[in-house]
Amino acid sequence: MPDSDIILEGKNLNKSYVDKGKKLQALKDVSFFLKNGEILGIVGESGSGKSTLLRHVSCLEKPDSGNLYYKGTEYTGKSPAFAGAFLQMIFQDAQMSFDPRMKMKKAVVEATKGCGHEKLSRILEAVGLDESLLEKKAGSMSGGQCQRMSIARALCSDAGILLCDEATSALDVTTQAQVVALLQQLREKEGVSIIFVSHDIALVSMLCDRIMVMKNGECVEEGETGRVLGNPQHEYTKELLDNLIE
Amino acid sequence: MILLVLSFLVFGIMYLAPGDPAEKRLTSQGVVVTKEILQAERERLGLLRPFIVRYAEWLSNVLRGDFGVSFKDDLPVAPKLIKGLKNTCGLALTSLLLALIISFPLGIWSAVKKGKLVDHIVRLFSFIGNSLPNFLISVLLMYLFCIHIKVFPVIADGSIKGLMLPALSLAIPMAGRFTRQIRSELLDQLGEEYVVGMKSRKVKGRFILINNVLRNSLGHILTIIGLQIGTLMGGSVVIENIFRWPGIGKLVMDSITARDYPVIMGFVLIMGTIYVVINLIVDITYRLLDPRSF
Repeated sequence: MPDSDIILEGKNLNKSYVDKGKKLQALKDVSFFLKNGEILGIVGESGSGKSTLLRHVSCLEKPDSGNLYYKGTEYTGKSPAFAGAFLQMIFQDAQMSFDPRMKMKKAVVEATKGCGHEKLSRILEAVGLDESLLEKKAGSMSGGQCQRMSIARALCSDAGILLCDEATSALDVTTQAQVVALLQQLREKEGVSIIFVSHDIALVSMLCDRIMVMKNGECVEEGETGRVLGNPQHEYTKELLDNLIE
Repeated sequence: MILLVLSFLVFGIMYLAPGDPAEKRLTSQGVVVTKEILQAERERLGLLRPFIVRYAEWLSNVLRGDFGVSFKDDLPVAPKLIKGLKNTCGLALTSLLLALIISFPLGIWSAVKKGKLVDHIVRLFSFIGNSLPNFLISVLLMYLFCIHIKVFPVIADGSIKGLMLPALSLAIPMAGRFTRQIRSELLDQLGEEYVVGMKSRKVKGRFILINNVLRNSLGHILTIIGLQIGTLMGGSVVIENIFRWPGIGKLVMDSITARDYPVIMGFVLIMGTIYVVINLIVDITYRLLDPRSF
């Protein structure tokens, strides 16, 4: 794909926090890009900076240095609402991503004022949910249904990019497979681009076109999925693959 | 059951406590106390009967709505308690209202401006307010408003003007506690994923705060406030005595000094009932306000 296909890009992102007087470097000169219609997987152990990176990409946090671009236009330091126009987060705990007091209909429509009934029906069908679920609250739905609903909500807001932060980690294996299949299908039918963060390298290898491996806030390896899995260059990637084989 | 155990314990403590109500009564009336007079007075007040008989009689009378008569002046206990309770409730509700008026805006403001100068200032003042004992606050307020500026009376006579300083003395530490708890509860909610998501979907911050965050925090906040009401009723004893506010706290302090057991027992029973009822109301309200129960 040519570079003009790049819709999201981060350059030299750095972020540090001070905890009990000790400086923690959460992101170290991290650069990445996401092409249109691509699924980028980010893997690494807990605390490697995967979720921190997503929080910066979605403007929930500001980097100490570095730049973020959407379709070539810089949006570093803008509000989450600004970034929300073109990307949406899908959280690990889907139930917690809905107001427990709100019915799904209100939660989805309130967040996506322009989403008419026809569009909503089409999206619900695309994510494999029945319209009757719109009358329910998050607490009375299963984890898989909630996760599908949160994907539907993101699609309703016309965001072309989904940032999935461990979106399948809290689900059972069957539901995990269904959500992964749904994401693949959405990429094909709706043309959405996805950044899929997970500590599960097997799952990432099934779904993603490219993989980025993170350790201690640093991107240690990045490349096409087949290349990274078949010919890993960094020791840490080899370690992750060895653990997978074991 | 709680009230039964409570009344039995307090009755037992009073039975074992030093001091003779008959002697206190005679002394306060200026009677020269002799052994015979004292014995006769004890007999008249029913103090010579066994403990369990006295407790059973008191309990059966209370169950019929009769709280007995005061050892101090032979007047019925119930009207005394009702009058004192009315004044104490007035004081407690006024101070609660003042505390809420102070703490709600400050708690919300502090949470929304977390980490900013405003937040630090609010937290500092709420910490100071919470740390100061209310008797010290009352003395400071008394010095400022009664002696220095002279806008409020030193002795609260039961009037609205007299109510303000005792209410403020109780409200300031409570407002400090509430402010911190409201801030903490709102911060928990503001960090929830649904709030983060709504912000990214361009839902207005004020709308999220009122329609989602505050509504979802209300259950916890009301629980804290509800439990504080019981503490407030009991805690007003000191303030009522400092300002001479004619509430149930002052009545019970006078009764303890006079060993006026029927009044003390009536007080314990009423306060116990208030605690139990408030806890019950808090439990029901929490259930009704819990988002998961909707």
